[in-house]
Amino acid sequence: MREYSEPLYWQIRRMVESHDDASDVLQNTFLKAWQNIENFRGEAKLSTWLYKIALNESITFLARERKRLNRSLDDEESHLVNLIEADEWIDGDELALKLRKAVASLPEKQRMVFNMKYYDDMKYEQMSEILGTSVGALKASYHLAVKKIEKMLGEVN
Amino acid sequence: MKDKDNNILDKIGRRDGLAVPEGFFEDFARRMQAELPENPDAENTRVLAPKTFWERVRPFVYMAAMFAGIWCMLKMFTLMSTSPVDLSIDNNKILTEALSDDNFVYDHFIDEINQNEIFDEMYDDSIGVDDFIEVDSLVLDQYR
Repeated sequence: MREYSEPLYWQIRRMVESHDDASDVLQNTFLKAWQNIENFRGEAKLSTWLYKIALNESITFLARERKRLNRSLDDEESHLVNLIEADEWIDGDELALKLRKAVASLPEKQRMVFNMKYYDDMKYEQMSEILGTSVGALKASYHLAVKKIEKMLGEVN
Repeated sequence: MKDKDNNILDKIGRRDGLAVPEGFFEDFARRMQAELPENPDAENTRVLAPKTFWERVRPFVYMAAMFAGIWCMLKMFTLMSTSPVDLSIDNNKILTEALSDDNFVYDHFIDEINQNEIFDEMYDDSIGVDDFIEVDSLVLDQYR
């Protein structure tokens, strides 16, 4: 569990932006995995399977929160920025914070792609297995995300 | 502008500036171990190794072999069940033609039998030669 909990936590945390929420989502991820372990056939890597569950749980959590707080998808960016600013568990400088805010403005799927590629340096093939998207589409998505972030960071500076 | 933007990402690097409370992952692992419900299925589940090429095609090969075996058996039964050679005279064109030819019958059947013995037996049985119809007159003249 130690082997997977850390990388999964960071992936979840970059999506939900709050340590407490990330901890809850990580717990749900392991519970789901434990309950459905008989569905794991061993054809994919265990880490791929767990990543898939973790990202699904993250998106479900964000959607549930939006519904609970009666928040639209357009308000999501400002909500995430607020969470980033209020986050007490940070260990970065101003630039890293700006990057987090820029990433938070991306659409959910693009955010996942950027996080996996930029921070985790994950291979497109593994990302393709996790997200169920073609490698070509992922490359295009990442390229777009980088362009947007560069533009945003350029404007901020 | 582009170079400036790239420099920004390069300057930030891969740092996301996120942190967790000290010992969080150790505590989390301990907490999860305690909280995970009993799941006998999960405990008994073993992770299967990816299937090899042979393991994937094996069912199809076996099925093809089974069909081939059934086909061979059917073929063999068909060969075994064909009707034996028909030896009856009615269906034998050559024999029918031969027997309808009087000369052939006299030459190859009657002549080969000891005619004297036949007629002797007929006399013994009180059958007159005249009663014997359609017998070659040449033959009958010898006994008159």
